[in-house]
Amino acid sequence: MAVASPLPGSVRRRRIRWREHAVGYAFLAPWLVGFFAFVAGPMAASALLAFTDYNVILPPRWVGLSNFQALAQDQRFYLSLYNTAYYTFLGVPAQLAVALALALLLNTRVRFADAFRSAYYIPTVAPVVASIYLWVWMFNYDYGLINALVRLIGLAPVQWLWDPQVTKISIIIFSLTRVGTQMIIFLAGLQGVPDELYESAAIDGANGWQRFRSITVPMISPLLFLNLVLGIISSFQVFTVAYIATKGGPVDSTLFYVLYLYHHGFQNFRMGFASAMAWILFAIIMLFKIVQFRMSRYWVYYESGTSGAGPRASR
Amino acid sequence: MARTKGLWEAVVGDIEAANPNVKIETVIIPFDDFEPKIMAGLAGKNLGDLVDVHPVHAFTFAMRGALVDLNPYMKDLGIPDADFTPAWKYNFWKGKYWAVPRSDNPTVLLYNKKMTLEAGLPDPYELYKQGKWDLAAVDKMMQGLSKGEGDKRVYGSTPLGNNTLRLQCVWIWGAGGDIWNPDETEATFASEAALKAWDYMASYTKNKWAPTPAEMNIPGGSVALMGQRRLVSDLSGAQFVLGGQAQFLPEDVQKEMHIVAFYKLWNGKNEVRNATNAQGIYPGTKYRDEAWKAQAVTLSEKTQQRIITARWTSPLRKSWLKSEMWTKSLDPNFEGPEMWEDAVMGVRYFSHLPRYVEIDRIVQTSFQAVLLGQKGIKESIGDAKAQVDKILKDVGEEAKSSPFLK
Amino acid sequence: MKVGLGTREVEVRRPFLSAAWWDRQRKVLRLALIYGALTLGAIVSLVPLYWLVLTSLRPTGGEFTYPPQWIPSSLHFENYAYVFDRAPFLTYTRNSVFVTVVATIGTLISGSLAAYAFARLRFIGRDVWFAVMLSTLMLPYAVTMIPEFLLFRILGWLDSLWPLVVPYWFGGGAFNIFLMRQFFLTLPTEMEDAARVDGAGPFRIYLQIVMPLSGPALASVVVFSFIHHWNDFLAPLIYTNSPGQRTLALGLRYFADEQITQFNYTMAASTLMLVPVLILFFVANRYFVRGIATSGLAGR
Repeated sequence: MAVASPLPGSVRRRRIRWREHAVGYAFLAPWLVGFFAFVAGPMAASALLAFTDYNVILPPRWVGLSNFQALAQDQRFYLSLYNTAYYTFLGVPAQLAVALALALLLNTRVRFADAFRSAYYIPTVAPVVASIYLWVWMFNYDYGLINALVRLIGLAPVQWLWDPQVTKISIIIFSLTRVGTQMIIFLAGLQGVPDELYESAAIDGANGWQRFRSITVPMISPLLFLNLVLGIISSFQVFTVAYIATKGGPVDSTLFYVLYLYHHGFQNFRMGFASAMAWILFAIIMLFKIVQFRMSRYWVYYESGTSGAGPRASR
Repeated sequence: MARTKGLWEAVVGDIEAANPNVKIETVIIPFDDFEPKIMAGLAGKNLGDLVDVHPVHAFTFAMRGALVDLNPYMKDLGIPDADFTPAWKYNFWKGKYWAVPRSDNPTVLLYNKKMTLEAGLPDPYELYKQGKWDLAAVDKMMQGLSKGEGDKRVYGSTPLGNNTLRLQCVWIWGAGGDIWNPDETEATFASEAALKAWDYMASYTKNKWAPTPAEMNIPGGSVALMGQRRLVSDLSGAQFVLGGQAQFLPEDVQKEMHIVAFYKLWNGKNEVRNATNAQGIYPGTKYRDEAWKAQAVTLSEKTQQRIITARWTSPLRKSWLKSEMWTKSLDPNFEGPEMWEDAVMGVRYFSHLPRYVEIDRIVQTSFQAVLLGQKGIKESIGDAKAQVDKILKDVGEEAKSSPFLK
Repeated sequence: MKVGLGTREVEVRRPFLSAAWWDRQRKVLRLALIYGALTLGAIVSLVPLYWLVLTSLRPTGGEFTYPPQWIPSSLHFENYAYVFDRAPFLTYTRNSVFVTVVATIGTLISGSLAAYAFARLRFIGRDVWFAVMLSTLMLPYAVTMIPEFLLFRILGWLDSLWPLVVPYWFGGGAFNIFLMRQFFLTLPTEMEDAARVDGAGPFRIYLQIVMPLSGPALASVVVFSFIHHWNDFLAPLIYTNSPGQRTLALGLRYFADEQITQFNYTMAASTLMLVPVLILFFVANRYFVRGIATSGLAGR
C-alpha cells in the first residue's frame, strides 16, 4: 500500500516506511500467532482430510476427489442444501424484520427502558437447549400451547413437528424468539439517527411511513447490512434445534447441512467426508459474502466523514 | 448417571477391594454428548482402559481395532457354558466376544393395570399365565385404551420399535422374517413376512394407538406421559423399566403399574431383544489384564447382587434365575420369577452390524414416509433395502480384510 | 380559544372537541399503545425464563405435564439444595469463573491490539489479513474440532483448562475483533494526530488515547465474551475428563442420562447459571448499546 508520489490537492499519501509495516505486524502479532497455531493448522488439516477416508479409529487414507464425487451423487446432500437455503432465505429476513420491529418499539421514549431491553434480550441468553425443549413442548400436537390457541380460533390443529411441509417453518418460528443480538444492534443504530432529520422531514409534511423509508432505513442500512451478513453466516450453520427437536426429520425435511455433516462426521465415522462437506459450505458462504459485499454499495449508505462524535444515547 | 452414582461407586469399591493395586477413574460422559467425546478419544487414542460401548458402535469399533478380543479371557470367568444367558451373545460377533455385560435387560411390557381394568379389559398378566397373551389380546387392549381428542388424548402404547431397527426387529422376527441374512451380506427386512410386520407397526401410528415419532421426542419422554395417565403401556428393557421409569413416575401412578413378559406374535413365540450395558477393553491400554480383572469383579456374585438389588438388571447367569438373591428382589405384588425367566431366556440375538447407525437412519426415513402416508410400504422399505444392501457390501468387504477380526 | 375581556385575554377552555384536546388524546393513546405493545412483548419474552424457573421447582417426574401447567401446584425449592449437594458446584463455578475471566481479559488485550492494527495502522497485507480473519467465522466448528483436539493433545494440555483459555490470548474471536475495529474507526483522529505530532509512538497512542475512549466497545466485548465462555459446554466436554476440571455448563449436563433427563435439576442448575449473565447484561446494557452505536457500524 505504499504510494510514493504526492497527489495534488489536500490528500497526500506518504510512502509507508518499513518501520510502519513492522509496527503493524507487531500489533497484529498475537492474533497472527494464534491464527497460525490454533486456527490455520486445524483448518489446513481439515482441508486435507477432505481428500481422505478417515474413520477416526484408523489413520486417514488418501482417496483424492472421491468424497466430492460421492457428494455430487448424493441425494441427501442436495436436499440438505435445499433445506438450509429455505431456512436461510425465509428465516433471515423474518428475523431481521422482527428484530427491527422490536428495536423500533424499544426506541420510543419510555420509562423502564433498561428493564424492557433486558426482558427482550433474555430469550437470547436463555440456555438454548432449555428453550428448545420448551418449544418442542409448545408445538406438541395434542397438548401444546400453540395448537390450543389454534383450536381456540377455530382452525384445525397443525402437526408442527411432524408434517414435512411445516417443520422448517416451525424452526423458523423458534429462531424468531432469539433475535436479541440483532435487535440490540438495530436499536443502537436507531439511536444514532439525529432527531433533526426527522423533525425537518415532519415539517416538510412527511408522514410516519415516509420518514421510516427515507430516513430510518438508509441511516441504519450499514447495520442492516451487518445483521444480514452475520445472519446468513449463522443461518447456514443451523444445527442445534434440528439436532434436538426434530433430529432431521421427518423424512429429512429438517435435515440441514451442518446436521447432515454431523451425522457423517460424528455418527458414521466418516470424518473425511464431513470435512469435504465443511469446505463446500465454506466456499458457498464465501461466495455469498463476496456477492453481498459487492452489492452493498448500491444500497448501503455510509455517512462519510463520520467522526463518531458522541453517541446519541441520551434517551 | 446421577441416579446410579451411588451404585457405581459401590461397584468401583468392590473392584478396588479385590484388586488393591488398581485405582478406578471414571470418566462420565453425558449421554447426549457422548459422540464428540468418543470421536476425540478415538482420534487421540486416549479412550481410557475400559470402555462402556454402546451396542450400536461395538462392532464398528471391533472391526477397526478399537476393542480387544476377549475370547482368551472368557474362561477366567469360570462360568460353565450352559449357564450363560442369551444376553451375552449381544456382544459376540465373528466368533469373538468384544464386550462383557454388566447387566441383562430383556424387553418387558410396563403397563398401567388400573387403567386397563377400568376400561373393562382383562389383565395382561392373567392372560399371560393362561397362555393367552398374544397379538389379538394386545390389539383389543390398544383399541380399548386409545381414546380422547386433543389434550384429553390417551394412547395405548408408545410407537412399536421406538423408531429404531434394533427394537423393531422383534416384530419382524415374530412375522417369520429377519433383518439380515445369516451371512450378513444382504438386508432381508423387505421380505413379505417383514412387510407384514412393518404394516402392523405402522398401524399403531395410523390408528392413533401410539403418538407420532415427533410427539415422542418430548421432554420427559414416555415417562412424562405415563405419569399423567396419558400413556398406558411401554415396552422397555428391564433396567429402564424398574430402575428408571417406574421410579420416576409419581407415587400414585407407580402403584398402578404392572409388568408382563412380551406377548406372542404371529409365529406363536415371544422372542425379545436385550439391551445390555457392556464394557470392552480398549487396545491402547497398558493394563489389559487389570482391566479384565476389573470386569470380572463386576460379574462376581457380590457385585451383581448390588446391581440386582438396585433393580438395574435381571440375572446374567441362568442359575441365578432361581436363586434367592434374585427372587428376593422381586416385588411380590407385581412380578413373577417365571415371567422373568421367560423374558431372560427368550432373548434372540440381533446383530448390530458396523455402520448400524447409518443403516438405521435410512430405514427410519423410509418408514416415516410410510407413516406419513407418502409412500406404500413395499416401495418405501424396498427402497431402503436397496440402499442398505450397498452399505452391507462395503461392510462385508471391510470385515473380510480387517486384521482385527481374524 | 381566547376571548378578549377588556384589557385581559382570558383563555376559555372548551373541554371537548378542541384541536388541542384531540392532540393530547392522540398522544396518550399512542403512548398507551406503545407501553401496551412493549409489555405484551416483554411478557412473551419472559415466558422462557418463567418456564425455566417453574420447571426447576417441580417435583421429579412431574416436570412436564400435558397440558402444560402454568401455575404450579407445589414449589420444590429443595431442588436447588439437591443440585448443590449432588454436584460440586464450588469447583464448577471456580473453573467457569477462571475460564471466563482469563479468556475475556486475553480477548480484550490481544483482540484490541489486532483491531487497532486493522483500524489505524497501515501495513502491507492488512486488508488481506482482515478478510482472512472474517473468513474464520465461516467454517463450522465440527470440522476443525478434531484437528484442534489433536493439537492440544500434542501440546499436552488435555484434561486441563488451558485449551479453553490460551487461544483467546492470541486474538480472541473474529467477531470481537471486527466489533472493536469498527469502533476504533469512528474515533476522531485529531487526538491521535496531535499525539503523534508530540512524538508519541503507536503503542502509547493505543494505550493512552484510543483504549480509554473505547469503554463502550470494550464493554460490548466483555458481555459477548462472558456469555460465550460461561455457556460453552462443548469445548470443556472435549478437553476435560476429570470432574475437578469441569465447568458449570458441562456440569449441568450430568443430570441427564440415557433414558431420562432430570429436568427439574437441570433447569435449577441452568437458572443458577443464568443469574450472572442477566446481572451483567442489565448493568452493562447502556454501555453496550452505546458501544455499538458509536462503533459507527453506521459508517466505516
